[in-house]
Amino acid sequence: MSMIRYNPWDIFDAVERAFVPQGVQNSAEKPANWVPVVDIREEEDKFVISADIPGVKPDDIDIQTENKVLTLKGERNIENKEEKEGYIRRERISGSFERSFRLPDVADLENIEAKYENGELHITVPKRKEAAARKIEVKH
Amino acid sequence: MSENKHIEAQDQENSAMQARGEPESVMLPPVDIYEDANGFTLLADLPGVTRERLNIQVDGNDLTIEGEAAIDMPENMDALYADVASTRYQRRFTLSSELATDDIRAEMKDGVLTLRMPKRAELQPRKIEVSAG
Repeated sequence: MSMIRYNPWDIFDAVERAFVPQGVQNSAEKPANWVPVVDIREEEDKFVISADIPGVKPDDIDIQTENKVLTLKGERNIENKEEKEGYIRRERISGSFERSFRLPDVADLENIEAKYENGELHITVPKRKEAAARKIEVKH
Repeated sequence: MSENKHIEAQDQENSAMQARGEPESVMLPPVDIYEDANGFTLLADLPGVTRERLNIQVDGNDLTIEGEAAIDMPENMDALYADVASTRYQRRFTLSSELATDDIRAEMKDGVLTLRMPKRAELQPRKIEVSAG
């Protein structure tokens, strides 16, 4: 297994560029407090976006697509009144989060699925059938 | 707020490793720690870590939390975009002797570890009954 850091100057990055995060878009809305970190991987028939969102109920995660931009957002509230008094260390992030991705043309927007497991959100974006890799015979 | 004699984070070693850019360096999970009359509660964000891949050790006054995020990466597949540099988490704390280290309880849910560390029984608040004379 090898992990490759995103490199905007790579000339072979057509698909990667398609996945560049869009940041917070709606200036009318209150900006998000934090941005979840993600891994994105490509498989033959799909892309998988994995976001670290520990300690959030699946119902509190909202995933939408609009104009080929996928936005995941939600709220993580870890504040608890009883606990508030005695804090001696607070590093865990709380509040609203948001992150958007521009999906590549091959993305099948109708069949996107999401699963929450062990604090990670996995969004599966299938590729459209006609866009899947095909072997082309060379006639001779 | 960051200084506390009861639970001291030992982060220097790890930060030094990260500063040197060592590939084997691990991620420091963010933690919340709060105190109440009976003890301390530590919450750590460990997304992707299952109970089986979590290791909590108490050695004397040293508490070590270790975890590995399970990535089901298929063979020959590369991540297109990776924010997460490492999938190993580790963090060490030094506990004060006021804590009953034998009675630490741990719970893992949705990528969040909750550690409950009670104070020693003799240090817990006690209500003393006044007997009628």
